[in-house]
Amino acid sequence: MFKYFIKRTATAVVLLFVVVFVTFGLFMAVPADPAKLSCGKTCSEETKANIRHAMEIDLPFTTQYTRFVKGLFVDRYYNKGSQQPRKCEAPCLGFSFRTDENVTDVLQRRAPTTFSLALGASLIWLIGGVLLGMVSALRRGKTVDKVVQSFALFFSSLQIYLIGWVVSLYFVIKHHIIPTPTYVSPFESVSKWAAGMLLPWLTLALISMAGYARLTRAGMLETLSEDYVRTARSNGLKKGRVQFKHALRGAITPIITIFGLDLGALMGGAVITESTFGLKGIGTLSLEAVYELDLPLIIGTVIFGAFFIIMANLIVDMLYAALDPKVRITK
Amino acid sequence: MKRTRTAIVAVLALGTASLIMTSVAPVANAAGGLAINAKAVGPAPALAGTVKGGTVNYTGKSDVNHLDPSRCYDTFCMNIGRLLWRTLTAIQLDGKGKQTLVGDIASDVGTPSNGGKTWTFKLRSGIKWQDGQPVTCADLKYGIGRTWDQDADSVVLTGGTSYPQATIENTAGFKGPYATPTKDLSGVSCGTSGSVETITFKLLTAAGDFNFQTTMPNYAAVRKDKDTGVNYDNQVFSYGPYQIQSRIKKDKTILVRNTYWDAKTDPIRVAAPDKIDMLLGQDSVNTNNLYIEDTGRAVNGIANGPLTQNVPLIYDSEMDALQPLFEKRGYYGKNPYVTWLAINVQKVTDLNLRKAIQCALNVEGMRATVGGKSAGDFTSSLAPEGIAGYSKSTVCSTSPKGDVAKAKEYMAKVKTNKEVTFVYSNATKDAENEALSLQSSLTKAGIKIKIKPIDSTEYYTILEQQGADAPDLMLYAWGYDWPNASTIYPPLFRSDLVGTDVVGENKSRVTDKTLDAMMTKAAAETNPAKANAAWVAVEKYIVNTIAAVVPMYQDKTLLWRGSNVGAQYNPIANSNDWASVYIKNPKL
Amino acid sequence: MSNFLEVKDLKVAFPVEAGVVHAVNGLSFNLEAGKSLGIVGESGSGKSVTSLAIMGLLKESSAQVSGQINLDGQDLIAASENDMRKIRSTKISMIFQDSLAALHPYFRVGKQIAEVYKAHNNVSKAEAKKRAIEMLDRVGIPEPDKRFSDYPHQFSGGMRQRAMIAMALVCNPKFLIADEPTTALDVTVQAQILELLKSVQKEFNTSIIFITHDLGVISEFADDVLVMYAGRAVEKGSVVEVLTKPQHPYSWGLLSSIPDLDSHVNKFNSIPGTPPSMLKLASGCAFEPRCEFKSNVAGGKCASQLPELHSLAESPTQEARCFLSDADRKRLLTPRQFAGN
Repeated sequence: MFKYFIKRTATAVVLLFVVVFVTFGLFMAVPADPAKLSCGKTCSEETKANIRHAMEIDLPFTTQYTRFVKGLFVDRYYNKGSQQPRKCEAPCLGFSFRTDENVTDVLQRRAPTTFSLALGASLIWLIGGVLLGMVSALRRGKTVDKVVQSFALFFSSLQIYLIGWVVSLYFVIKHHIIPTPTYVSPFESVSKWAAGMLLPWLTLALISMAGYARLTRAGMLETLSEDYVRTARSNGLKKGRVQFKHALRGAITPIITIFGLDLGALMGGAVITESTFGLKGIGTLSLEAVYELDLPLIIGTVIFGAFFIIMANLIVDMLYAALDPKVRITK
Repeated sequence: MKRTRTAIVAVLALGTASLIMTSVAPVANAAGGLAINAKAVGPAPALAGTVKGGTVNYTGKSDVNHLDPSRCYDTFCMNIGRLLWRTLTAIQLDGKGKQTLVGDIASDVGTPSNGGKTWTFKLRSGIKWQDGQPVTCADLKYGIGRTWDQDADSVVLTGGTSYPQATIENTAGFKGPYATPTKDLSGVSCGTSGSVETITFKLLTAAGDFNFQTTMPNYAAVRKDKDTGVNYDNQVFSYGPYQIQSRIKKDKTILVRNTYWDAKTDPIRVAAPDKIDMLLGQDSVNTNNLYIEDTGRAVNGIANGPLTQNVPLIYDSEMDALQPLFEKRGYYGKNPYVTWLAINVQKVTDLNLRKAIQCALNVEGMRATVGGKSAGDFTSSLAPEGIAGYSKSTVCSTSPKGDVAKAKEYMAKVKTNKEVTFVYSNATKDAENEALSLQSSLTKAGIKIKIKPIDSTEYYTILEQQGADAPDLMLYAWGYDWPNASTIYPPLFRSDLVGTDVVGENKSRVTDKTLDAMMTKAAAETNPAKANAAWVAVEKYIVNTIAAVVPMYQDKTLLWRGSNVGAQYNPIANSNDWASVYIKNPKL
Repeated sequence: MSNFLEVKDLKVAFPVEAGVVHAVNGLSFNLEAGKSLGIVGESGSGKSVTSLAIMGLLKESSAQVSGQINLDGQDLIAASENDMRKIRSTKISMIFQDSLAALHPYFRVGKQIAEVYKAHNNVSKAEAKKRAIEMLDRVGIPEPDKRFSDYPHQFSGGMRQRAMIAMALVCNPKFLIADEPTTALDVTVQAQILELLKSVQKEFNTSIIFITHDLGVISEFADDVLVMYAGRAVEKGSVVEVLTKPQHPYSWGLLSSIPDLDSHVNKFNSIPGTPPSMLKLASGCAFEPRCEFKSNVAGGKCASQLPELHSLAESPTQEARCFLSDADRKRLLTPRQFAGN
């Protein structure tokens, strides 16, 4: 088991480097010139060349890449030989072409917003979705089931950029029911943090909840007809215990694994939700970075996102062994 | 979609400044062109109803690009940046729409000598940094010198204009204060005149409008001991009415009063509010809704960019609904940009065909596809109203629908009816509709017209290319860098901009020696009335004599402000003016 | 001895898309305390449904259950789900055919057993665990304390079935229903399981219903036998009676189809035809289409009239649902081949 874990981690790390390499390569293939972007339209060729030199993008691809990788472990100095070398402490992800800020600092500053959004929304949709799905399965065919199914269909067809604006307009702007979503650190004030994130949480959760409800319902319907649920019932166990412990447990494995993957992806930034509610997280950061061809920032957000997705995959793999004893490679 | 530019586009290539200064001091004028006041003093003219106090909000998507004056080149940073720094000269707004050139750090508008190759400005006293120390000529020279960092290998201060380098002498090979800390910028020198400091500029060639160039942010002061290089953007040391309390790029910025600022020294800034609160990264649709509802941050807020820049197309029907709101708390009026159709005279060689196009074009139909009235007001001039060169002349027909009959008359005289191609960017759906409208109106006159969509990433490159693939017809828009015809006609129609492989801003590919001479003469003319007449003649030549363009409409700007805010429109920034904004009721 | 279990005219119907499936059509039988009854029949005869009905597992489903099931004086059909929950495992228990499917794959076996014990007794977790290990030991599982922590898939088939039995008996029920518990096991293991059940029955005086299609198992294990066909009892009696002298053509057919290892016949006997569809109840005898003796019944009433169960003059404890006269049956239902005991 341990060997398996080591092997998977090693694969994950290799994968991360491949992702960085590919991103680097794709960026190099784009015809637009970041120097021109930084400079505005008046740039003389000389100035643009100087900018490229300062950004170190006039170096060959492999040099740039190796310097970048080295900078992850060792402090990096841009323009070492010149009058004003810039120091970038390890792990160095470079300086934003647009704002000159240290990319690592920017990521650190923006990450809590994204984490808050991801964790809050995902918990809401997991619990809400599973409960709704369970209720639906247990009352199959009845009104409750039909209502939940319609709700699931309706909300899973909606898009954030529609709901976001509608919800903002109604709850925040027109009727002042909820304050404007802003991010306040939970270490400052938990109540303000929750109030500020409530609308984005609910909006994001509502759409995903639908999918989880359907998934749970399908899984539950299957396990409810399994022999072991019948055994539990025939052994006189209480209904709640049969439904939650025995039936749900049988159905939960795919749900938890999908949840892990969803959460991992969300940690990379929920771009549309963050944009719609003006949250300054990794999602909006990556959007701005791509739009502005800000390579260091793009690499930074890609690594950030890739890291979590790869981690999530790793954890989900391990989790599978924990959830399904038949998969374990012990004994 | 309006094709407004957020950044004022300049093309001051090294050859431009070949203007001969013949006569002496410029004079305040009334006939055409901008007014000049050589003796302006503070306090600045305030809008009616101005009271002191309160916090003004700004809520928007994009942040200011750079607050560092040496790196500032777009209208947003010029508008807000000048709350933190002042330039040598500046444009004063009087609250009634009149623009006047005045001295800002300078107490006068400069005195040219040596045929216009030397300019001397007297500096004001009493301008103080946020720590109480006085702003000196040395500070101003240092600030101007930072522009030359662009020439350094390890350039740090990117993004600013390069006007100073193109205009001012630099015999020592100065490359900015970081790369060449011991070298001196020879073209700028400080001196005294009696009890006041003076600053003198030695230019590469004579420039009649140099004192307009000194309104650019490059001509701001930076104190050497407070210069933090690349981080100065976040830590601008202020000598304006406000200073930075906190700034996180793309997140939020708070400005509070600089207690050392003296209103008596400042003819530009009213600085009524106590605090400026900027929140960035906000969704545009939500922000727009805040203004429509006049709630939350919008109540004390002003918008910076034009509404149509941030929010998709606003059709006439929606405008009708918004109109009453704008009347109460918005600006809905002309901005300094003009949209026109450029005809490539190198490819569409038959003058009659060009004149036919001018007559056949149904400008009203085209405008309707991009939003109708909200897109702009019809014009027959390339210059915006109030700038020299503007005249209410006629292009071909008095009706914006065009004159098909007259077009056919010209078509009858056309020798070979070659097919012409109109190119457009495929970025938006309405660009396609616009192209179709153009095609239909020209076809009615018998003109053989093909429309060709170009991928938006390649569009501007295609516009510039020469040779067989050079486009015949294309839409273009332009706004002045500073309110002077010299930043409109020459940058667009000088023959040296037309190359064999690429062309600069001269999209009509006009290589006319007569026109070149007319423009040079007009730029050199110091008598405002004569200058105006000269520019009108230039305009008529371009539009009527050689039919190189078809002016279409002067663009319009829609700007929100909250119900608790008083503000005026700043044409240079194409936005609400930050220097004179005030909160009506500071207690709200 | 009084009847521990009395089933009177049990009917179970399932509404389906195509109509109504009549799984059980008027089944009646009794079981005395400490005795074992074998229920024999083909798939679809309704034997499993009967056991589900007794356990009350059809409550809160779409099944329509009517009739009476009296367990030690309590009417199980009238009882609520909650009432049933209380007597399940404590009074009446069931073991299933597929032990791998019947045990929860994600919980440890020992814990599953302990859980049942704890659900019905106010004990601590430790006590429940002790009890579970006891039971595992009782059913003959070696190293029970180690096997407590194993998962079902780590047990062999026989072991698993023993564990199921342990789970069923952990609360000392008086009545056990075993639904084809040995069908999936090989013969030697089968014998062991049967041994176990017999010893348990002896020790605790448990009444057992043993459902199977295997006549050999019945002959070894049960006291009485009930033959089911198309949701009805077609023959009832003691094992000796029914297996040596079957009185119904169906039972006779079943027994006849058991191959005799001593003879040299190459052909196998089978009952021609297939079991009837349970969607449409025949009005007459359900076995009539496959019966080779129906021509012996006067008036051809087999097809139109349903024969009642009636006992025989010679063996009053044996009943058969057939129109054949006693004399005819004696003559016709001669043993071709069948297993003696």
